[in-house]
Amino acid sequence: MDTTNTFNIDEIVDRYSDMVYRIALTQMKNIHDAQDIFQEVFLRLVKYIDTIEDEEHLKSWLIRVTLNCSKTNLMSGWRKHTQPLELDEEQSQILFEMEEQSQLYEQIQKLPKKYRTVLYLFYYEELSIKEICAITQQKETTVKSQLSRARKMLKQQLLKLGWHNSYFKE
Amino acid sequence: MNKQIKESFDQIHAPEFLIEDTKRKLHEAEAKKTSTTKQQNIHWKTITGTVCALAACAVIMVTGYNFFNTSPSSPNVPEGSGEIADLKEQSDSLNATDNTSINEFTFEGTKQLNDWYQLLENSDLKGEERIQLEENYAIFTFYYPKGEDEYQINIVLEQGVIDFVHSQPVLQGDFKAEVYYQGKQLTKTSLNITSNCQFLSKDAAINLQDVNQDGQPDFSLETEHNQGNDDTLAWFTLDENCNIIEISKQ
Repeated sequence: MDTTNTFNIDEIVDRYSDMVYRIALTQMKNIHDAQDIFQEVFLRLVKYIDTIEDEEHLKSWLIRVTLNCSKTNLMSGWRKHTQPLELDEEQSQILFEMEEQSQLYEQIQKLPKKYRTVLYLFYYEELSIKEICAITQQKETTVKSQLSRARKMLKQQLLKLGWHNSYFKE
Repeated sequence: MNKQIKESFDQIHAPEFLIEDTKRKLHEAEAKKTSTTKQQNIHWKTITGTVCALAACAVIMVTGYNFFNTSPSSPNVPEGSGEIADLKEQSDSLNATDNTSINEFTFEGTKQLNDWYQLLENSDLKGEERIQLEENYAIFTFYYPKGEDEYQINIVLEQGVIDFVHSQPVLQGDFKAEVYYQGKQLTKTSLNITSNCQFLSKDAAINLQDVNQDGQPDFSLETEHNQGNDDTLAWFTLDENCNIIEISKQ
């Protein structure tokens, strides 16, 4: 299947820019690194676009590559010798409509990376457990337990901030 | 809870300047990709044209020689004389040139990345299975820009075996790094990856780690464990002549 004719790179960027940026920001907790990851992901796409089969494959490819690029960046030798800016400084650059949204985002960012990842993919991207397993290459039981722990930790953090129990009813 | 999470993430948008800058870079990358392909095509056409022209000259010379040789007016030249030997030599050297050119400008029979993906996709994975690869496959390809040039680096599996363990490919074989510039192979180096490699993610590939003291890039070849952690299989660097030098395995 000749995919190069069916995918327009500008349209892909328009369609998935927010998703890639959100994942990169969730992983890196740093706007500048997230922007670097953002560009790296789409530049990689130019190289690999011939291997993309369809829209579903494209989305999962973008998520997986964003996670991988972030992971590589976090492990790089250069990064180990640098001190990231405090979360508050970074977060102040995101304009939230409500204080509640800002608090929630801040508490999600305080969770361990693996929990932030599954939480975002499950709740925001509305991926199934099976799809998350395929993207993160983890077992179903691992993803389920990560999701459960993430919910629990987030709930505890938000309760400490005075959030009411009714927020957590599924 | 999911409503709140959704609303919270909904507030995060990629900045417009970033989107525009990325699009500009992507168009540049696409243009470069197309121009590289065009240059490769021009190379091919030039080589094919030269070889054809030389072959045509040789045919004309041989035909002309035969014509004069068989013509009653032409002097008899004994077989095996210097002229015939020269022509044979010319013909042989043409063949040699032809073969050399073809070898230089092809991927020496290495199947490309897409073929590798295709092989994995088409493999009917049923639990435990072993596939003996009859051809060489580029399992990773990446591009390294150096100044205005761009080098293509293939990590190739030669004489490989794929064991499907729980439907995941585990590779064994000789791993080699091939460096190409404009379709021409510059170097080929054996990589010291002898242990079994489990490639779980197609795009967990090669990462630029750092630029070393000599200003040359250090790369790592990475894949993932079952547990989702990265596994660095090899570290290598490119010297100034584009030879791949393996540093050490981490």
